[in-house]
Amino acid sequence: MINRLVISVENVRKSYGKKVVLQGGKIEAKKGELICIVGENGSGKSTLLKIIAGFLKPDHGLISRIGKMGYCPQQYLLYNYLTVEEHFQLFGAAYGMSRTSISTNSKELMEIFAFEDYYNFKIHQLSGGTRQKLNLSLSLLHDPILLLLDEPYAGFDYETYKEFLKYANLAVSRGKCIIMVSHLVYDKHHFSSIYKLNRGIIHEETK
Amino acid sequence: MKKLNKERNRILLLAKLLFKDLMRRRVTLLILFIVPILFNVVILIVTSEKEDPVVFGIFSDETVRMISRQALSFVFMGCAAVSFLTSFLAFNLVFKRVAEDQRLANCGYQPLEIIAGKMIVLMAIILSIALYEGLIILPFLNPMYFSRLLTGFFLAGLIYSCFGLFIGSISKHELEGIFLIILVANVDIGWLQNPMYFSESTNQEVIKNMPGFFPTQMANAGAFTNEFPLKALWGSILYALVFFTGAMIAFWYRIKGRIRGYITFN
Repeated sequence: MINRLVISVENVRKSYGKKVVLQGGKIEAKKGELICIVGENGSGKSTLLKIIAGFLKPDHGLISRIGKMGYCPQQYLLYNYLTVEEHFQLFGAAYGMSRTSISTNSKELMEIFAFEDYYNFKIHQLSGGTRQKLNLSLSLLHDPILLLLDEPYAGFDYETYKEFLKYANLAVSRGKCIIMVSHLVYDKHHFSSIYKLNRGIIHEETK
Repeated sequence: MKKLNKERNRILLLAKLLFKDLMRRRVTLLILFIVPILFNVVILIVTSEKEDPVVFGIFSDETVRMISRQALSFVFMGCAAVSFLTSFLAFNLVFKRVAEDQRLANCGYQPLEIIAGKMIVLMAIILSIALYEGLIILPFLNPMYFSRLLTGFFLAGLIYSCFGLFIGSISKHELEGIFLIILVANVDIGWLQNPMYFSESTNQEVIKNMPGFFPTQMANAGAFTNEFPLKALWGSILYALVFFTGAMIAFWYRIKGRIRGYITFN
């Protein structure tokens, strides 16, 4: 059960006009895996993640997945004049969660990422790092089985980065699958697999 | 029934939060309240009270009525103010939040639920602006039917907010959307629907088929006549429905249309 495939991405191609961004390769991820996709700036990592998340349609390729998915975009897609609490309410309603689960899960996430003091703050009053914590927490709120994270720790301080890795490892040990993209990868030993995007083609790297 | 209630609650929650997000912007509030006052101050400064012969195109009898220029201007500019404000607000509600709306849709909101939430917010704002506009012109105008005058203002806001939603859903760049709204709103409700202009127009049929015709006629008929122009009510509703349907289709396509379903396996 623990090794069941959660997502498979095959031969995905995408061009913006004449510019070819993605031109093939394969990614397979199972329950309990933490996967990192690396590549230089502009290599198409975010495009690939947006295609997997369903924000973009590929020109070609097959993507198959199961279960609930959480997607954390690189940009903070938040409402500047709503509070942290109101964001949890809104996204909880989008996920179809009950009030009790929204309250329980949001409190747990705020505790993990240490931003419970900002519960009643509006977004424009928050620092970049705290916005990123909320951005990430909103994608985790409904306890998804597959997590897609686009540069999730950009803007985090070292303590929060460590908390994030701790959370990621815990989630993976509970059978979740995490795919994240980053232009830099530090602690390689944390990852089950690392894929590299080179000239639009996805290669699995040997660690 | 339970599913319907759940959907209704989701839409209402979204509408409530969108409304809060808008109303917490002080500049937006300031503009909503100051623009109508500015329009009326300009009328008071530049328009005389001389009476002009006016024909209301909505009535088939073509009766010529003598009405003060200033009174006509208050009604005409009231419609224009409500239309301008609500069309820009609607445009902003859609265009500026495409990425956020796509995220919400990706998390589970249906695009039509999102646009319904926006429409609820707009309805509340149109009602407030129409009422506010009606109240601030009362010291200078004695309308025959205040409720019909307000209905005209409301319908003007309704049509132009649906128009703003539509333009916000189809525009790729902000500037082209803003220009399109300025062009249409200015030519239609800010110029051709002025009863003084309409009465002298060489081609009234063109003016009668523009979106601003019905609500302006409703407001004018309410302010200056005893007759209720039912045709203006239905015409306005039809225009609003056409724009809203266009907005819903364009919005759905923009938020969800590019996304394809996945093959899932168990």
